[in-house]
Amino acid sequence: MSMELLLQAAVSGFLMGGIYALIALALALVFGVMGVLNFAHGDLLMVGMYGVVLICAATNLSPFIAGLLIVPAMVLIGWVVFILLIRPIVGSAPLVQAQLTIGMSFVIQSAALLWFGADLFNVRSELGSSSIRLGDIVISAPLLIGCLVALLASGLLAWFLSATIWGYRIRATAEDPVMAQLCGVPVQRVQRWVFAGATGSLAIAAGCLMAFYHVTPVVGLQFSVLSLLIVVLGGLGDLRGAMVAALVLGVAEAMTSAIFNSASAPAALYILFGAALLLRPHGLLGRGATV
Amino acid sequence: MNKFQWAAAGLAFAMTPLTLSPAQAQEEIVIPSIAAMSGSVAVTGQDAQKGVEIALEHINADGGIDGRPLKVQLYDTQGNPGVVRQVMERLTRLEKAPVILGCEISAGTSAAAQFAEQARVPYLNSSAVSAELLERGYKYYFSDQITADTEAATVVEFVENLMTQGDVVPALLYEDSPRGAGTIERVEALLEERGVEIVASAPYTRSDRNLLPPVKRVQTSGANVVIWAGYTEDVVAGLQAMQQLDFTPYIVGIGGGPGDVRIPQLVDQDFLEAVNLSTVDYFNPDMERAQRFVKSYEEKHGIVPSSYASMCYRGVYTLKAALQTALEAGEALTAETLHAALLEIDIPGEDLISPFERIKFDENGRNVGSQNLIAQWKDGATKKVTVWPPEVAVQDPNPLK
Repeated sequence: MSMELLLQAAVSGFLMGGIYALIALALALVFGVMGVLNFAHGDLLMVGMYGVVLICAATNLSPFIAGLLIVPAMVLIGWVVFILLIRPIVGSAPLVQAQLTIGMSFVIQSAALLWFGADLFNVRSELGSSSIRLGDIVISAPLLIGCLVALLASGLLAWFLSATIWGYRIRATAEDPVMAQLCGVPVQRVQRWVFAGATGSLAIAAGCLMAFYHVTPVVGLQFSVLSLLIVVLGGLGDLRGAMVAALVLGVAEAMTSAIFNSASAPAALYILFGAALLLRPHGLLGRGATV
Repeated sequence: MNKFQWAAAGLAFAMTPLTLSPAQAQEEIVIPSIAAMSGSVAVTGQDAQKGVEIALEHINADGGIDGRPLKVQLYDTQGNPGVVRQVMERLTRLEKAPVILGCEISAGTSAAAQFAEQARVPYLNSSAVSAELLERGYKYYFSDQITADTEAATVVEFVENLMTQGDVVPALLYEDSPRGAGTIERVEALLEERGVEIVASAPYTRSDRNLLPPVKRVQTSGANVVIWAGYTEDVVAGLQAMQQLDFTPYIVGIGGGPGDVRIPQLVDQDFLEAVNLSTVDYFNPDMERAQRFVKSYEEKHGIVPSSYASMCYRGVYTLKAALQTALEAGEALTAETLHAALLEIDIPGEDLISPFERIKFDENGRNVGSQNLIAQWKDGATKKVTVWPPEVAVQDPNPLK
């Protein structure tokens, strides 16, 4: 195994991890604010990915722009899903939440299968096949831009949470909803907006992914599993921990594929996950809730 | 109405079963079929369903089977062996199906074949290429499909032909499911037998989001011919990675991915031609004998049929031959009579849409007449042309650069 191949894998993994971070942050935020682990998270992302495909097919726009354009639609979807399905289970037992969100995942998958069929869709653009060379290392241009956009969106989210009045309200709700309510924070409204906003942020992640990836009705499952892994590894409810965990997982996944083979990557991820849970039960940064 | 008219009407009503008796010959023959129409391999089952529908339209337009219309009832298995077992239990034990048509992937077919054997109901596989299933000694498993062994042999013959044109440095790239890894293992063995050194072997998982690392591993090995087994999604991701790496080997593909008719819609067409994307297959739309199917399919779906669509079109015709044989012998359609009929049929190649010499089953249920072809994207990847073997080739394969 040459150093060049290892470096290549590390760079690709890091860039991929940046996109994972944006996807997982939305899930971490929802869990932090309302205590719901949404197993249909990846399926909502899949809805966004189909949205990007439709916009790109109709307008020839870049998937990144298309992702931005569908943010309002995704916010609306998030709003409706929250009102109809999530709000009734906030505060319920974890098994009830899991059953409902897994059921929602199946419904979204079946609807996508009926609507779009089982065919694979992607967005073809000049960008999709372009790359940047740093010596022997090849950096995929769509992956690089996707990672930068995802990191920028994550940075904006961090700024929003730490420097705006709504950010304070969200953090207060995450910290202690009862106390936040007593202090005049409209907790239910905050929860509603957080779920809608988190779903909206998946539109940007969908745009980043569709620059180099494809969508099928079952693609959401892998992102749901990955996001859950990242959120738990980062520490339940800890956004910075989720960010670090996403980058660590991205690099670990790519390095394992390069050193051994891709088939061993999932096993390596779960070994890493198990070890982290044993050694850092409150997440990588030690600031999350106990698993 | 007077008494006489009432009596006449009553008599006519009483005689209805008798007067309808010739129409019993018009009674529909319903045969169940299993396919993955949802789940991660739904594209195979959905295409198979389209192929089955066209086959039924053609058969019934041509007079059905002995004057009786044929209907194939599809059951969704999600490509999940657990669901396959449940469906097979229902079909064999509750519904007493006399024969089952399989448009199922290899993992599901393995479960279905085992169940059919226990239930002593013939299972006609038209989809899975697993060679191992034919080595189990099953009496009720029939496969009119090619096998991984014949696929591997065709790939190696094609590579040997390339070797006559210059130095071939082969590498293997494959998704690691039994489908991809199984065929590649056979290719590897055949190349080793011939003393051909393989410079790299790069497996990956089908759901990999980034194929730059494995593709780069193949590129740095110095390979100029890549033997690649994959599904559509990973082949698309891999071709994009090759394009980013400026890596243009001669690609000899295996499986539904490299041969997917939708590939030119998903990947830069010039690049497809630059890598001479070729694929070992059991169907290609340019074959003369397949034109009726291709035209009907294009009219109905606006695209040429995929190999997945062709396999169960062929399967329905194999089934038709067995049903016809049993009916012509004056036998009822039972598991035993259809088992005997399947062993008896011998369909000549010119009646098939596949490049097969014929469909004739040996005692292990293997189709002794199965044969592959190799198709290659040409003319700016606007059409997939049959280039191998020479006896069915429409054009010559692109030369090795």
